[in-house]
Amino acid sequence: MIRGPVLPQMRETLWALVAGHLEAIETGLVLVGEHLDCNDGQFGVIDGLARDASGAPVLLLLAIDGDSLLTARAIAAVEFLDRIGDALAGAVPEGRFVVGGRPRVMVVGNDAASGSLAALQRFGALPLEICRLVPFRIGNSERFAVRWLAGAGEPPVSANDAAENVQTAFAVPEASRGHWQTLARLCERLDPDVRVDGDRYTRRITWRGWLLGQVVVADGTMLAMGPDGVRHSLHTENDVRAFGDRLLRSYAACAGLALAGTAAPPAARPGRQEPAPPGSHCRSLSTGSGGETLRTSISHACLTADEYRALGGAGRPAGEAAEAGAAMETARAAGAEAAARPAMRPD
Amino acid sequence: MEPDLDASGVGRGFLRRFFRWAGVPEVSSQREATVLAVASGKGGTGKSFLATNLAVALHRAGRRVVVVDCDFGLANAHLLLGANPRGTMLHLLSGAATVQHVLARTAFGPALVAGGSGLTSLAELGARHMQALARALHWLAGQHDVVLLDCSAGLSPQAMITVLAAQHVVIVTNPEIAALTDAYALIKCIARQCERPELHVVVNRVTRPGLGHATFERLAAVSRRFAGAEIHYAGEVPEDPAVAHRRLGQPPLLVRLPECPTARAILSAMATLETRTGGFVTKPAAGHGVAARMAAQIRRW
Repeated sequence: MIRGPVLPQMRETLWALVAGHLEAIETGLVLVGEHLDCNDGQFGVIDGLARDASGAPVLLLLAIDGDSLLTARAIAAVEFLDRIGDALAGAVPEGRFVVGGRPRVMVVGNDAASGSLAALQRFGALPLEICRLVPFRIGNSERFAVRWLAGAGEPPVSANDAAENVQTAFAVPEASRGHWQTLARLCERLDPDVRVDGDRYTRRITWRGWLLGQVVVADGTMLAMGPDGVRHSLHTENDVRAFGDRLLRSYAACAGLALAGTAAPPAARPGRQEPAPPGSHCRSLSTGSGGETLRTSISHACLTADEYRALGGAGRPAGEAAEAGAAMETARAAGAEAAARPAMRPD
Repeated sequence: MEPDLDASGVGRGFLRRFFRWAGVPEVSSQREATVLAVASGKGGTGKSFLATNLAVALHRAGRRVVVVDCDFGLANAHLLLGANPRGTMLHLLSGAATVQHVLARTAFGPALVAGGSGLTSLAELGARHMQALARALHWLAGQHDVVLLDCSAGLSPQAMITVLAAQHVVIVTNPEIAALTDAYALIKCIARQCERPELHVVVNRVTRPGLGHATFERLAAVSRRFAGAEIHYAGEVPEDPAVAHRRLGQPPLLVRLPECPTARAILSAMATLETRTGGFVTKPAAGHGVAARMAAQIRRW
């Protein structure tokens, strides 16, 4: 029987999925607690309390089909945040909330709850962030994409406009705004095909789908990451220039432009990633070792005793190192050859 | 306020113009063939047999296909395809001939760049030779739908460069432990690369139906568990005396005995690979063509 991808319909199972993939909904979102009751149990409990990348509290509400109290619960959540304000930071110390951070209420629903979400969207006065999880399937694994329907404080506009507003509002700390603008101008000069997109706390810099780098905001600090996941601080103009140089090298490697000392092409490319866990957002999870030489890769191809046994080999492979014959032999030969001919480098 | 990255401005494309001014080749927008490498850790698993028969099958399916015998020094694809080429890989790599000169048409359809037999070891090949190969493959990929690389056995930088030049690698193995461990060593090595091709496995010389799949399952489990690599099953090819007793000058199995179980298994493997590779059609290179992939690996030598 052919069946389409489906998300869990029950509150408990959907919450387990959402709680396990908060990072896919918004970069840096971390779960602090569950089942927050802020209205004397009248409208049910709020599903989760989370901390966003800037350190502000986020109340998470699940929308499921037939939840008639969703709107009431959302209003109660907004009122609760208005009422309690910064006191939440002291009341929930394990959340390490930032005093003065802007608390938010986020509603996450599945396809079946589209009616409830639409009703909630019509309450334009409520400062809610509403998103819907859209399931799909790749091969045998089920994934979901996050479709934003409304952002905080937005007037009731069409879904596309609202999604665009949410997507483009990059929460850059005031102190780092100048650095971000410098970096963005640099990206602009690289190539017309360089794109910068992402969510509230992250910006992905890509060229024709190839990841050149990322800029993320975490705990009020702006950080940059190369395509290999190596972090770069962006505190000074020199940091920005250094990361700009990294971007340039990644771009040159991707574009096949000969640049002296250009690093290997970046790891992440759509469709060429490590398989993500079912239900997760498509993200760059590459664990490849970009910096090592081919000889190093080959020398690491030796089989361990466990691998040899798992393949069905009786006893142990020759030697404690348990190498595969071809692998070790050639790696050794290659090493000897490299030692003998150090000038063997590309022109 | 964020800068508008889509707005046109004086600085836009500055670097691209600079590279063009500096004489760096412009990123090619041409379409390129699907590059498929047939490899194995161990020698004698049936790489050349599979590569040549796959080439014939692809030619019969209407694809423009070229076999490049990268088994430097121990080349035999020209024997299996019954060709007598005027130039070989040896001439190409040494700069004595162009790729157009060494490209031979075979009687069974696929084009062939025959491997040289004058090299005593892979160690004789340097970065300059591999760059010549990259240029040749770039040209071949622009002229064909499928480029089949018949790679050499074992793990060496030269062999790895040719394997990693492909978008898809078909690893040919046998049910024996020696072939399995060497195939796994190759998978493990490929899995360590940032930009790695899709891995497919064909189990050759299977003595009973189902043994190939069982062998693959074991290899896949170990690859997933220890190397973090996902491999795909392309099929099994039964042990066939007709293959072992093939005489010089006889046509490829797919031509000689098209209805035998081995030929049918090869066609089945081709159908699986066709699905997995997106139909063996040319795709835009977009700066990530075979030459760029090889150049990236040569830099890592």
